[in-house]
Amino acid sequence: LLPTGRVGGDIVITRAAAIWGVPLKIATAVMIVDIPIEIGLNPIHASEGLFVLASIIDITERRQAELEAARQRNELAHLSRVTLLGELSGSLAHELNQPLGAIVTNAGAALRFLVRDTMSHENVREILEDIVAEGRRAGEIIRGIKGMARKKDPIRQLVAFNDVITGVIRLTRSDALVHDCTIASELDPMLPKVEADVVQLQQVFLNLILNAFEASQEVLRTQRQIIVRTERDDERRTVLASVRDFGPGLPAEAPERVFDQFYSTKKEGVGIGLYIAQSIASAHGGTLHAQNAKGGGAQFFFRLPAFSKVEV
Amino acid sequence: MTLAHALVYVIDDEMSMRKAVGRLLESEGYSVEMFPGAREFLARPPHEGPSCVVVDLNLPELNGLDLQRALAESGRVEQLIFITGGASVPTLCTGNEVWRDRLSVETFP
Repeated sequence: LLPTGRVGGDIVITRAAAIWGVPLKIATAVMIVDIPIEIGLNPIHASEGLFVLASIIDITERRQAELEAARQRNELAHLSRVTLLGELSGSLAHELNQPLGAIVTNAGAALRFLVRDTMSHENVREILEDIVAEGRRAGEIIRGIKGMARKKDPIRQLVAFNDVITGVIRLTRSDALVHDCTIASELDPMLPKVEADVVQLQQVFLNLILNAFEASQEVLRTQRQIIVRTERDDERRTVLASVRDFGPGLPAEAPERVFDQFYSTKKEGVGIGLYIAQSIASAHGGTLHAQNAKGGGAQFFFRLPAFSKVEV
Repeated sequence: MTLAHALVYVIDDEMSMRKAVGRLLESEGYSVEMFPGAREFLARPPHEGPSCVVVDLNLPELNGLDLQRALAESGRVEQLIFITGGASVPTLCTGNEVWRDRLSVETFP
């Protein structure tokens, strides 16, 4: 029982630890303050015998620095995400135009049928069903964009890698058309889930796919193909996704330079996209690597720990 | 004019749009045939009577312009109407001066 919570906390801990050697709670009459500490026990062999050096360090500041770093990383990730969405905005407008156009056209057709009195009940039902479906689709697109643009703290949950990829491919469909690219996906249906923040995973894939579109512009139309694959690696207990293009490839002498901060080959690029993507991967206990693929083009490998219930 | 022998082809990879455009034409009394891609359309023997092709400009694989070229090369005379959700109309005319004069742009839908 101490008069105040924090004052001289480390001294108190040092003394107390000499007696108990365990994490401590320091209590005052009105409040309990948790102080994160790190305990080290090191054997010292001396001529007099074996000694133990016990150290207890108040790591409050280090913790705060870590939290601050995480906050800044999330902030930067959000910024990069918004930039990515900005790159997509033209084609997203097109993506929305599609269902809206179908709705207006369908309704127009229905009105004309009505005027001519040539519409069966069955016709009406079909048209209205399509209108409803397209309206829903437009709503989903908007929800998808809002979800990515929103600024909120990442939430770790169990995520199906394949679903994230399929969603991002859907989001980039119009952009693929604009860039004359086709995306082929080879997704392992038996892929274990991963524990991750969905939005940040979307961001990584969006980044990789948009980059692949960009790289494909350097080559002939017939070559503009992007292959997205997922597979499980049971030995390393990870899931692996790869995004491959058939563009000019990465700088041969140092392919991983693309992850450097402010490294960009785009006219309007800032060069933080891949840097952020890599930091997202490592914040999830995974990796993001790049190499030149056999047969040309760049290939990115995004690896995350597979979730398993028995993991300790 | 009777529409009995006239046929309108609608080519769009997006099923919802294809159906909608098809319906719109049918509501005006046209006979319509629909195709998900240019290749499928080209596989069909040409129609005997008057016909017109409504084709999405941004099709995967063979796009609208490829189709136009393919039709011209095989000496076919179908009129073409391109539809597009993108703002690609100006790029459509680049390098095609003759065509630019014959192109009229309408807003749709």
